[in-house]
Amino acid sequence: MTIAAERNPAEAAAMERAPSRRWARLARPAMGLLLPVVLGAAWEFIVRMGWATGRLAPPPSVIFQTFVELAKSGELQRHTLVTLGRVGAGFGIGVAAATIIGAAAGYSPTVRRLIDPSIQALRAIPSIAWVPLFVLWLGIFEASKVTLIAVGVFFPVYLGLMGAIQSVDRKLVEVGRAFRLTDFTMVRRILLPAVLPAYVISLRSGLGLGWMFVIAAELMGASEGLGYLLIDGQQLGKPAEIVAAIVAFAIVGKATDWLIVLAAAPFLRWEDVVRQD
Amino acid sequence: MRSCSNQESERCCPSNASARPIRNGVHALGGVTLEVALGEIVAVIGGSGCGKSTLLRAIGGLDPPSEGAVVLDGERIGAPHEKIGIIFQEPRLLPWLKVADNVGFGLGDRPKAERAARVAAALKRVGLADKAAVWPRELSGGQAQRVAIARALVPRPEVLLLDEPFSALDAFTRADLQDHLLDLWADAKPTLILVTHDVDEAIVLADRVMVMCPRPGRIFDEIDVDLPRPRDRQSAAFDFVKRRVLAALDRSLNRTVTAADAEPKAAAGAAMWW
Repeated sequence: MTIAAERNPAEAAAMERAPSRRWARLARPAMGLLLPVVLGAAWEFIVRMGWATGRLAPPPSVIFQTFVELAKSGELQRHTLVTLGRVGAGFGIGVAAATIIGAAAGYSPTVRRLIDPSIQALRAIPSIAWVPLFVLWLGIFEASKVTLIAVGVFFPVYLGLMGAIQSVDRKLVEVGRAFRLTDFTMVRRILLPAVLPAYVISLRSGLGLGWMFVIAAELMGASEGLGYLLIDGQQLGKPAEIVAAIVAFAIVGKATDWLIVLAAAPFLRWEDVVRQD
Repeated sequence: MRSCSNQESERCCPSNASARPIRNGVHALGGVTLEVALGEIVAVIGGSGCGKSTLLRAIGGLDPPSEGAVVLDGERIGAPHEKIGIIFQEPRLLPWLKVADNVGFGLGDRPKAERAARVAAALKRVGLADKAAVWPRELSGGQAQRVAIARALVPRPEVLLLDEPFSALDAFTRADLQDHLLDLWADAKPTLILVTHDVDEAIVLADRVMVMCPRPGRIFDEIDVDLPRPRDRQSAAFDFVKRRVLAALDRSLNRTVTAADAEPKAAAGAAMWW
C-alpha cells in the first residue's frame, strides 16, 4: 500500500483563489451596510415612483440634503460636539464611580449587603423621573444633564462589574491565596484582569444607556445638541431635520461603541473563547 | 484552635482529639499525626473520601484545621506561607498573562532584572524556554502543568505540596513529568508532599508512602520505599513494594486480601484497587 501526498486539483484551485480571501475580509463589514442600504434604496425608489409622499418619512436623498445643509452652516458639527461632550463627561464620571463601588461590592460581602439593596432600588427608577429632580437641584444647564447621563451609565457598569467579580473562577483566586496576595493586590492582579471581558461589555452597555439618557436630558430644556435639533425639527415641522438628528445619533453612537471595542481589543487578546473578530 | 469548616487534624502533636460536634459538617480528618523530614518525599494515597486533599490543603494553609496544628520549623502554619509552594491538579495558569509572566507571578516584589533571570532559568529547566512569550491557551496539558511547576518552584520553597498534579494527563505525559519532577527536586531538594491516586507514581517518587483510609480520614499504614533512584518501574523490587501498597489499600478499605490476590497478576487489573 502506498500513500502518496500529492496536491489534488481541488486544493490547487483553492490556492489560486487566495487573492479572493482579501475580498472576503472586506466583505464582512460591508455585509453590515447591506441592510440599511437596501432599505434606504427601496424607500427612495418608492417615493420617486410616487407611491408615497415622503413628507413624513423623508427618503434618503432628502435626509442627505438636510445633512449637507446643516454641515455647511456648521450647525451639525456644533450640536454633535455638544452632545458628544455631555455623553463623554457623564460616561467618565459614571464609569469611575461604578468601577470603584462595583469592585468594592463585588469583593466584599459586607459592602455589598450594605449598599446593593439601595442601589438596586435606585436602578429601578426610570430615567425620565430623574430629570425634574436634577433640574431642581442642579439647574437647567450642563450640571443636571451630565449628572443624568452619569446616573444612566452607572448602573449597567456597576451591575456588570459586581456580577463578574462574583463569578471569577475560585481556582484562580486560590492561586492568589497560595501566593499570599493582600486583598488589594488580589483585586488588582487577579480579579480585575479576570473580569475585563465582562467589564468591557458592561462599558458598552453603559455607553448605550448614556446616549439614551442624553436625549432625555436634551429634550427638556436644551439650546444646543442633537436632542435640541430633534425638538427643533418637531416644532418647526421639519421631519427631515428630525430624521437627520436621529441618523446622526445612530452614527455617532455606533462610532463611540466601536471606539471602546477597538481600545479594549489589545487587552483581550488572551481570551480563549468562541468569538472570532 | 479556630472554628472553620469541618476538619480536625493534628500534625506533629499526638493526641486523641475529642470530636467537637459540627452541625452539617463532614468530619474529614479524625486525628492525623504526620512528621516529615527536610528533603523527604512523602506520597499520600488512599481511597476516595479519605481526606488526603483536605490534609494537603491544611498543610498548605488554604483550609486550616479546626483542631490541631501544622508546624513548619517550629512555626505554626495557619495561612499560605512563603516557604510552602502548592501545585494543583489543574495548571491554573492566569490566562491573561503570558507564560513568562505566569512563572514570575510569585516574585512580584523582586527587582525586574532578577525576576527575568529567574523566570528564564526556570523555564529553561522545565524545557519550555521557547514558550516564554506564548499565551496559556496555546499550551498543551502537559506543557501547562510544567509551567505551573516552574511557577511553584521559582520562589524556591522549602516545601512543595502537590495535589494529584498529573492525574489530568495521559499516561505517557504522566511518566515523563514524574521523571522530570524528580530531576527538578534533585536541584534544591525541597520537601515534597504528594497526594496521588496512582500507585506507580507514589512508588516512583516517594521515600515513604502513607496509606489513608476514610470515614473519618486517618493514616492507616506507612510503607517505606527503600529503592535507589532512578527507579525502574518494571523491576521486581518495584513490583514487590507495589504489591505491599496495594494490599495495604485493600485492607484500608476493609477488603480481604487472599493469598491468591497477593501473587503478582499478569493483567493490568492489579492496578485498579478501587
